[in-house]
Amino acid sequence: MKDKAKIFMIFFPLIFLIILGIIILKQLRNNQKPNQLETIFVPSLTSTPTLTPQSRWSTDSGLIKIETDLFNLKKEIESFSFVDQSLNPPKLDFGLGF
Amino acid sequence: MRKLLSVLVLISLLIFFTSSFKKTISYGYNSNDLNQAYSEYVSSTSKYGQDLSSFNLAKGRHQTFKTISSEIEAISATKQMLSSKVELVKNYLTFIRIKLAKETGIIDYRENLNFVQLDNKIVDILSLKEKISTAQSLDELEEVEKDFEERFISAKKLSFKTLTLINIQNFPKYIESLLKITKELNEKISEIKNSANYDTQPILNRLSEIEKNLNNKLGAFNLASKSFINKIDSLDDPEQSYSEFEEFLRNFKIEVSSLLPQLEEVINLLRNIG
Repeated sequence: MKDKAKIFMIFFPLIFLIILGIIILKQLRNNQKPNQLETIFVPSLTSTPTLTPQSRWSTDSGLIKIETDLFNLKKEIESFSFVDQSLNPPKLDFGLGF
Repeated sequence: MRKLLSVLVLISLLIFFTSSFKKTISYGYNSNDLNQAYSEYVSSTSKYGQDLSSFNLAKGRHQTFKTISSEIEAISATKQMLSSKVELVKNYLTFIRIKLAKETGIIDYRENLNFVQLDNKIVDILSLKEKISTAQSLDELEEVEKDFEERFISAKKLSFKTLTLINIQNFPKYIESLLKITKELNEKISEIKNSANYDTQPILNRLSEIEKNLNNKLGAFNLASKSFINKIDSLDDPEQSYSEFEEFLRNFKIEVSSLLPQLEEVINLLRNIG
């Protein structure tokens, strides 16, 4: 019986402290939330898009593909190097000279 | 179960044949072979450098002391240096031979001939090893060195010819791709014209001009390549011809690149039509 009382004496304050800790933490978080979410709305002038007549070919998938192919080819040509110096024959001296 | 096994066997057979087909395309060489050949060439370069230093030291000692032992030492160092030089040239030729096979696929007669010539040259250079090992005196080694020099001159010629063939192989592909783009643009122009009867003639004229330019460039490139190969073959100084070829290639790349904005402009005109 005494043992049970001892266990109760140790664990009850411990559980109480844990619950108290959780409550305090929740309270703190709730206090912080409004600050984090605080957003300032700045009135902005939204420009209404002017409707310029666009060519139907500006979004043509065939033309876009050709343009992409040309862009990739351009990049390949720019990075292409004709001459790989490592391929040149070694420079060797001849004549023993004794 | 049997069905599953037969499907597995069929898949493995398919993988096997696909891989062997790929190998045949690259003439039996892959990137690993090329990397290995290159690293062997690089390591033989440093070995030759070390043996050349030892040779110079032994030569200096022999020229100072003129004793029998200094002569023996000089002969041994000369043999070592010459063997390393043979190994270096052999490894270099092997490397560019694999590079030629990998880059070109050995499709035409010129490439095939060059490939065989490189093969023969490797055998020819390697035969010097026998001469080096049987040489008894410095005079005999001097003869071997002269023989080597002559063989190296023709090996160099062959090397520059190989490099020209490798370089020729690559760039026309880009011009061909650009010509393909002009063809696609031509088709697109027809489509646009048919859809709304726009006046596409000015754009078409521009495109024809670019196409004509590209075809001319391709023709000029093929002509110049042939002439450079012949020049390298006939002249005593292949290095000079090759550096002229390099210069031609650099300018050619600039010329082809200058046509790209013109094609971009055609695309822009088409996108804004109507």
